Amino acid sequence: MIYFFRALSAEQLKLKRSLAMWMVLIAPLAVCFLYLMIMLKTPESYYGPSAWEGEIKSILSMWSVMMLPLYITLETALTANSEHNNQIWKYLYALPIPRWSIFSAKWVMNLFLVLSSSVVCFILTIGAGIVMRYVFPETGFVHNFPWTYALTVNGKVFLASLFIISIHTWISLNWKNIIIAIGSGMVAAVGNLTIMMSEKWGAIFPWTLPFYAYAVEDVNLIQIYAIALGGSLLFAIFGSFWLSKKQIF
Amino acid sequence: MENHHEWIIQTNQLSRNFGKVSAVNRINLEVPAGSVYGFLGPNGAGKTTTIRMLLGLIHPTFGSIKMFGHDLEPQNWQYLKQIGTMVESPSLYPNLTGRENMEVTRRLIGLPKSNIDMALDNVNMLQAANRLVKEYSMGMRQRLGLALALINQPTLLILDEPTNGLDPAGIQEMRDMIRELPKKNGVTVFLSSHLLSEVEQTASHIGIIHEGHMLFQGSLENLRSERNPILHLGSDHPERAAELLKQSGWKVRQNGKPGLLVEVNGNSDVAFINRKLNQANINVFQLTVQQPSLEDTFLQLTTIKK
Ligand SMILES: Nc1ncnc2c1ncn2[C@@H]1O[C@H](COP(=O)(O)OP(=O)(O)OP(=O)(O)O)[C@@H](O)[C@H]1O
Ligand SMILES: [Mg+2]
Repeated sequence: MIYFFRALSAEQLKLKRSLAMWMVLIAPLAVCFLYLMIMLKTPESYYGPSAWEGEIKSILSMWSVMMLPLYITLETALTANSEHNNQIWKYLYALPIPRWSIFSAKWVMNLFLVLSSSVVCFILTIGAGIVMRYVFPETGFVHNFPWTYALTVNGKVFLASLFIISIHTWISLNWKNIIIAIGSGMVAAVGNLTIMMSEKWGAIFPWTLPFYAYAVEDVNLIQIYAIALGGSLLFAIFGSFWLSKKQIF
Repeated sequence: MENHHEWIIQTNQLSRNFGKVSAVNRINLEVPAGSVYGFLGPNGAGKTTTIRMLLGLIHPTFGSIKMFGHDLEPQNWQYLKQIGTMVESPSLYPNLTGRENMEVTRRLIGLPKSNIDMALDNVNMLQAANRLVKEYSMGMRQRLGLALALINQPTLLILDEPTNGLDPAGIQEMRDMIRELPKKNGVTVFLSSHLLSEVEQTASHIGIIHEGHMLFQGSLENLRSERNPILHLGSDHPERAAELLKQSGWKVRQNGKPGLLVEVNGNSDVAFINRKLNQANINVFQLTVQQPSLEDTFLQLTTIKK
């Protein structure tokens, strides 16, 4: 266990001055800023009492369907590439540490990066609503912020995204070529748009789980979490095992 | 031959294939404790492949490795505690400073903070330690790479072409540092190079590898005594002379100049060659016998065509 914490603390230092660190802010900012622009253009859609719920849901759908999968793809690719590009593996694997510690620390750090950006997205959602409240006092944003609802749906999206994080952590660490990491993420994100429509596949396809977890009526939530969490854990163990066996040419 | 030696690295028939290419072929390394072992070979000889096997980065196709007297087993990383490495090029994070790069390794293997300054001091990098690595020159990167190899105070240092990309002054400095290490802390150094001249001042032992085969292994003195003298031969028909000598089994090399280099055993050989060429109507105007430099020996060994 000590090896895991050591590796985690090393991972944290590696993020210093990295693009991966900036992406934590940039990705949610892009989504929330875009949505704020839309709201400023069409304030009349937010006159009702459920203005907050509408906003939360809309931002979250942009986030969970498009931005989050791409963001996970990019972050895992960036953190893995700092090892690939700088020829670190041959040094890292010749250090007196168990190899699983490297993978598990990377995995936890990727979870943390996704969680951080989800928190930023949450805060910016509130921020955008407050801007609306001042610019258009006649909209429903004068009502209290629905904390319980907001926290629940955001939490669901994050939990349901754990599977994708595990898959991409493995893909990006296993293949040196960043095209494979980015390409697979882009294909999946585009696939999302069609698979989303199918009730049957949408509830089991790893990339559509975040959307299904909060936005689709009468889905089997237990099944979604079982797939997301179970898949995530199994895949993380598989990835750790796989990468420990890897030869470094 | 000394009858008892403590081998720090010992391999038995170590081999590795890449598809059909036999990169390393049945080599038996014997690296004595406290030595500076120069592992020499031209490009593609199998040096890096061997080093990667010693570090457990790739698996042998065949054969076995003993490190510090113990058999190497997959998934066993404990022996790495005693080893410091730099394989081919230094492994550095450009977004971090030199010191932060050291700190990453320090955190990973759980060492005291003082190890960082000690290692940086060893390679004269204390001054530049707080600058970002992306601003470093090649030589600074190489030195930081060496500091990373020294951070755990290893008893065995494995360096793959540590002078890669350094200028002559940098090469000299690296040489001095490597030479000091065994004296200071009793470290054994295993270093690869494709130039004999680069290690002949530092190394006490030499292994020469070519196309995966070990051609020579022993002390520097052994290598010196093993070579044949070289005859520098000047004649008016160098091509014909070369042809003729090769036909009768001499080892002949062109020297860039119209002259030829012929490996001989002694003066009687020289007289014999002279007579033979004269009989073939080739006029000989230069016959000089020289002890070859070590570099010549190395070239002799590694340019043999099959
Ligand atoms: N990953 C690999 N896949 C296929 N062939 C390889 C691989 N690595 C090395 N080889 C082959 O193995 C042989 C030995 O390569 P190696 O890198 O060990 O040589 P080297 O002595 O380190 O050379 P250099 O001085 O150029 O670094 C070469 O023929 C090379 O093409
Ligand atoms: Mg090499």
